[in-house]
Amino acid sequence: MDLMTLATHILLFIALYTEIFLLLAFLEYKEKPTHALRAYPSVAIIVPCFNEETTVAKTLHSLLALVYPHNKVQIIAVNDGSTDQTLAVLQTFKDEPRITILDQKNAGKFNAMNAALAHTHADIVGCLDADSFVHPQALVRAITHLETRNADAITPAIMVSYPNTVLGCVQQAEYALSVFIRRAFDVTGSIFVTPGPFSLFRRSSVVSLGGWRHAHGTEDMDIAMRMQERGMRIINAPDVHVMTSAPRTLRSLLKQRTRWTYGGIMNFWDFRHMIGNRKHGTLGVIILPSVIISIFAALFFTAQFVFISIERLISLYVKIETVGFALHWPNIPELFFFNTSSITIMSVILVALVIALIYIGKSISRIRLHPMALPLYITLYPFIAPWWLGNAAVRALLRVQAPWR
Amino acid sequence: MSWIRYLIAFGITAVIFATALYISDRLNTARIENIRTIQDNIAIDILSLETQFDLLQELSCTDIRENSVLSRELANLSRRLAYTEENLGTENEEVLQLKRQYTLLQIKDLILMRRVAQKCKLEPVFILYFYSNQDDCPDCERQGYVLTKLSEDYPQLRIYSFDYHIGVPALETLATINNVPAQLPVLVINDKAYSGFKSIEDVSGLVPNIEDLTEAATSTVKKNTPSAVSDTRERL
Repeated sequence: MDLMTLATHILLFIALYTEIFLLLAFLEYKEKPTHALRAYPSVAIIVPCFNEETTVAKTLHSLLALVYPHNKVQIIAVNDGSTDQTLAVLQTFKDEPRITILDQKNAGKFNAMNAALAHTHADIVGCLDADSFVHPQALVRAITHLETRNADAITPAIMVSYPNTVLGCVQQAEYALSVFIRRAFDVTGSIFVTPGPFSLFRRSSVVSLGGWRHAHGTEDMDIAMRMQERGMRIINAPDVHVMTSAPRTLRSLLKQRTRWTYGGIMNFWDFRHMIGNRKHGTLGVIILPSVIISIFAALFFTAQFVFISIERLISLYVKIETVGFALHWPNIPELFFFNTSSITIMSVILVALVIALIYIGKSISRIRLHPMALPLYITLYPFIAPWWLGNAAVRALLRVQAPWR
Repeated sequence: MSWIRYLIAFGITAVIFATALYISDRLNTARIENIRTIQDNIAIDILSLETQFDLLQELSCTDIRENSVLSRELANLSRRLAYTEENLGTENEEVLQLKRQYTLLQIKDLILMRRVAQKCKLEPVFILYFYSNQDDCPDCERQGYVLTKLSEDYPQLRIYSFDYHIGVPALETLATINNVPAQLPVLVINDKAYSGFKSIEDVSGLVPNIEDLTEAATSTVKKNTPSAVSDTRERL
């Protein structure tokens, strides 16, 4: 067995181990019954906005429609120096007593969050990105879980709002997988991102951390890592539904994911003392190392694929140059010529497992997957994800921050 | 932390992994067995034909030529062996063993076909192709494409391909009696060795009346030519 084959086997083993570990954790988990709320804690939902004129009104309307005592909900919309008509759109809500509008020079999402934090004394603070929309029951469900399980923060199940494009379908399956992963991370106490769409925190916990801070464009990961660092509890609730506007073009998707991945890598570096650290439990020993290895593995497999493809293209070119081009009817496939290497068999098992995990995510969050979501995800994702992984890895090496937009 | 969960996950992963390795190994073994069976069948065919030939000197040429299964089987074997070599590697001992047997079968077939040609007063074209899988033959890939194309266009060409470094004494003898130089690729066409890459045009120029060889092997009985044994592989 040569070195490359050995490395491939080791990476496949780690990938399979991680999937099985998460699946076991998920299967072991027994949902605790939630208690009806005796009292409704006060909640402030912060909506940081930077050039969100097209979506922010819908976001605010979805918040206003939340089933929760009106006198307990405060919505703080922060215009973070938008250069479009976002502020004007926000002003149309100025007569709504539950909405507070703040306007600041562009200073980044974390500053917008901190500005809003300073404007509230609510028990719970949350964030809702201005391109996302909540289910009317989302808040009451989230608070019920938060109180029942006495957690410091809670993350929702995020879904793609309009999966009617190819990229929308791909992302819908990806988000369904994320629903499973977040749930499994919850079971193992390993949630390390509190995403912008509707993560809720105890205000006291956030204040004790000193609020949000600049963190390579992924402040939602930084605050979760700081919470984990201090042993705070972050949970997930798949029945808290949030819809988000997924990027519709490949360019915007690449930009978004490059920023996420770059921020992730940089945050991993900032919190490297947690990686492999038994003090941080499964997060330190299994999850953080496996996420890092998975980025490396994806790039490794892509490099292998590119190398083999180039080799075959060169062979094809040499053949055409030597004997010309001729079309042949494809031969009827014989069983003998089916690729049955251990790498192929392992890859098939891994893909089958991923499909099963997507269906679990779909099932626990009750998402209706677009019929094309899974086929498109399986066929396209392996080809598009390496672009942002590679881009982000290079940026991280060169310390070149990925742009927000 | 639940160490039990870590261990169970490791155990399940190890079992799945070991199963995948086992299945893959079993399938590869089955593949090699399949090749071995084909080789055994070919060996029996050749032996049978040789025996027929020896027993019945007056055997009609048609009777001998009708044994065209042999050519198809050799081509079939060649494809399977090439695929197995690609997957298991050129250094795999079992692959090397199969290749040695295949080399011997080809040589035996060549000798037999020459005898058939002599008996039946035919003038077939035999092309012996000496190649290498090592770094000493940068043109072998292109030469292989040329020969594959020629075998498609002229099914009656009898092309035998030999790995120069396979280490079979009979092949070394064959190379010696045909004056095969060490500069690969080498083509031996009608007992004359040509070193270096030869294009389709070059080979066509070296084969007399190549345009007469365009008809498929199935028609050879009517044309009074021996059954075709062609190896259409690029490299093996």
